[in-house]
Amino acid sequence: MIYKIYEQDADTLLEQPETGMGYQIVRATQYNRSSFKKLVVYNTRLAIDLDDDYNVNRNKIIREGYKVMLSKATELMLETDSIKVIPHSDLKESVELSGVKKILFKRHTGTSGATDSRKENASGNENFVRLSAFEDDRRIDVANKKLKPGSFTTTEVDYRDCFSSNDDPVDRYALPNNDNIEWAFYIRPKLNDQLQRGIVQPAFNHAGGGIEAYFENGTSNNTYFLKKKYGI
Amino acid sequence: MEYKDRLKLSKKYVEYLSEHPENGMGYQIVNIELINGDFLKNRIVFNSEYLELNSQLEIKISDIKKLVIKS
Repeated sequence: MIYKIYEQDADTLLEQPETGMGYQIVRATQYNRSSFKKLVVYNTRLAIDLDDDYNVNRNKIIREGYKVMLSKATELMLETDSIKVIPHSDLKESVELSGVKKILFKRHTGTSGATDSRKENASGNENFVRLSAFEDDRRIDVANKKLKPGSFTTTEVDYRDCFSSNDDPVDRYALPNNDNIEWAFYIRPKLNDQLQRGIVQPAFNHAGGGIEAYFENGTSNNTYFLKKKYGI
Repeated sequence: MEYKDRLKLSKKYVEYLSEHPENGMGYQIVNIELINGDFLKNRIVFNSEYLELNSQLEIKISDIKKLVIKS
């Protein structure tokens, strides 16, 4: 559901830090009730239950606009003393909140990484994206415009989910270096190119949950077509 | 790019690593034999060229006898 936070509770939230840019993840008890709610609250007033319908409701807000949704939303009153804003750093550490992360950042569950999965042929019209801290990423064969054998990418869809939800790519793709991801290299494999697709498993104290694709034999010539700055 | 906590590998290792599979997007796990006989296991190399060092490990390129991808 979508709610309008009761004004005095919004004042309480204003005194607390954000979880991420423009939002707070809040754990609180509803007024006169005993069970906890987990909410994503935007601008201290507009809140969405952090449950399986979160993305549907978030898209409603994007379509209709913050002001319109705020005017239509049901008012929600919280027990003031129970209000707790979850900092971003806690999202990584808490088992309870790892589920929150999955919903909030559109992460995936599953125990098979790419190299555990069966091989499939590329469709010829799906884009994959290799993310890198390095502009001269060495898995990109620039001369032949292809991905070198034994290389990982993610899908373009998962990449867009990552930056549109303001997720952390280092955590999503469980990378061992904390360098900022600066570059996105776009690849469209051809029909005879094979890949294995899976879910990034936790590693290096990161949660994973992104989609990864592994190209054991790389891709054909002229499949690498674009380099852009991350998030653009 | 300069990193204090990483060792830039020489061309022969970069070329070797560039032709071998990754373990994940942007990194490879390697085993290293040093000239003094020590072995460094499960070390991470980024972009086939930067060996991650830690506070206990300070080596130079000339200390490396052999570097292989972990099988």
